Amino acid sequence: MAFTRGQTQVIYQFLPGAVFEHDQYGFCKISGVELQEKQVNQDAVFNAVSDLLFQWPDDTFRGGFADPRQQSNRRFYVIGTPATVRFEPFPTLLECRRCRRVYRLRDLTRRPNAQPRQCPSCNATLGQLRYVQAHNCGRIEELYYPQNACSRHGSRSLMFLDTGRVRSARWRCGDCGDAEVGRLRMTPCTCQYSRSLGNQQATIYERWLKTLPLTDSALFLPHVVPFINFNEEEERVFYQDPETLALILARTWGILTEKLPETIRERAKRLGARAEDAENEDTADDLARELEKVQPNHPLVLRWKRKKADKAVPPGQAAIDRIRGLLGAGTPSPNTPTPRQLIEHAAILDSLHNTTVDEAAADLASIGDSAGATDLQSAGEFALSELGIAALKTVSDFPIALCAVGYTRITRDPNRSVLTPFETSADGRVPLYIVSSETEGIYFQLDAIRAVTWLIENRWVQAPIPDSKEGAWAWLYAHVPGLYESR
Amino acid sequence: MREAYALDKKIYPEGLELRMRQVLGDQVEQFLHLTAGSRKDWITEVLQPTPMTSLRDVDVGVRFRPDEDADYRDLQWFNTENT
Repeated sequence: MAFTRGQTQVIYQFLPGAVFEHDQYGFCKISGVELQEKQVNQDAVFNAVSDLLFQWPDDTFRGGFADPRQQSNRRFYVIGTPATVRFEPFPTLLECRRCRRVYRLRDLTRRPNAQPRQCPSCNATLGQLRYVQAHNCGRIEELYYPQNACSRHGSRSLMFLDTGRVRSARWRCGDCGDAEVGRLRMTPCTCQYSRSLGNQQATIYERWLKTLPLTDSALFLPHVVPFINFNEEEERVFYQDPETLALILARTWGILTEKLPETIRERAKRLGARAEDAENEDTADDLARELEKVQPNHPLVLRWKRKKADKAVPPGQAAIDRIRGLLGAGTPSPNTPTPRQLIEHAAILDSLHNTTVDEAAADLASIGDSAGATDLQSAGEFALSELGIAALKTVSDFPIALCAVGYTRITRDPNRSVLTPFETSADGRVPLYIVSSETEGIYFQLDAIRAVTWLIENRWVQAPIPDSKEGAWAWLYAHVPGLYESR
Repeated sequence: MREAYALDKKIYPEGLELRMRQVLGDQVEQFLHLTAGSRKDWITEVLQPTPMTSLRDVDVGVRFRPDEDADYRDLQWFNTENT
């Protein structure tokens, strides 16, 4: 049967640089993964990639990646789903399962009459030596094979004594009565990371290549980031209004009850029309004003006044004014960039299919399951009163996606590793492997007053407790930097 | 079961009715085998599908193949089918 793995498994375990065990060929290293280009939300994916990359404080530790925050650098990347995985057997040091002699593949293939998988000395089966060396910079090597370790017999009867510990493992020569002829080589790496450590004695271990068994999970540590793959066209509307940030805050805090995309579109229409009307309505306005002087309560005058008032206040303006009132000097000025997490939140609320507890309960009641409806409503009340969850919904079309950006070895720590990009495509672009799906999600929003009260009562912040929900949101916005910092 | 699926009422085309009967018969037979052969205490335990154990159960499969640069003769040294 063909060897296959699911796309999500590939993202986490089978990308270029990974070592895995193949059913037929034993341990192998992945040499490349072909990808099928895929259209995804570019801003979302590059935003998530940037968040990951800039966890590496030293830019030489992520030197293979162009800064994706700059639009012009995005051409250096190619985005797609994994399509075919290419591999090659690795490592190629082979050990006889019976006599324990160790051979290099390239030596074996040169021997006349060599039989694949057979020990040339005892004809028993050969298997791979299950150790490799790796370093924090992403380098991976076969164990050093000391072919001249025995001055008399060379590598003819070279055996590896595996004690399970690097310090006590030994190379031995069978023809010398199992005499020790060498130890595992401790090689320092000459990479950028090693150089950054200097030459102090204390860092010597960190500079060495480390010997690891092939099954050690530290051999390949993929860095995968999730992102919300909203429809890019639909998302664009959120960037069209100079007051987007204030509108999104109003929507998040429950001040604006209308859906945001509709509000923004209507505002654009109304503001556009106002400019046009200013040119066309001069005469009509003059006539209406003259009529008003004679008959101030004439129905036409009243209608004209109502229309003028409507046009003067575009939709959402009251909500924006309320935000200004709550935030005072901290109000975002027009055209302030909106943090991506706020855009995503608004998109979840207003562009996906959500079902609230009340709607689900109403559905149950409509099919006669009144007990189920009551249970559901009780659960919603419990969530609010006991858990502090103010809003609870299901999302039926949540467009989650995963993006594998690169990998490290030995550790995930950005201060102690080099993030390596996956093997570049034929045209030299860095691949970003994506798996996207539309799935169900659960949306919940904490009760702002409860969150603020908790922070104050636990003395994280010293301040009076706000008395309204809107006031609590404004308080959080002012005191919790994650809510307003752009990423 | 036949009644629930409105079989024997001449409302389906003949071929479809035949196929539905076959599927229903197979499923009922499978159910009977499953319950008769089970050692569980509750029938619900028998009928609940086992949880998925692998992403391979739900995910699109990606094929693996040896690198085109790999030497076929070298590959044979690792091919367990040669044992």
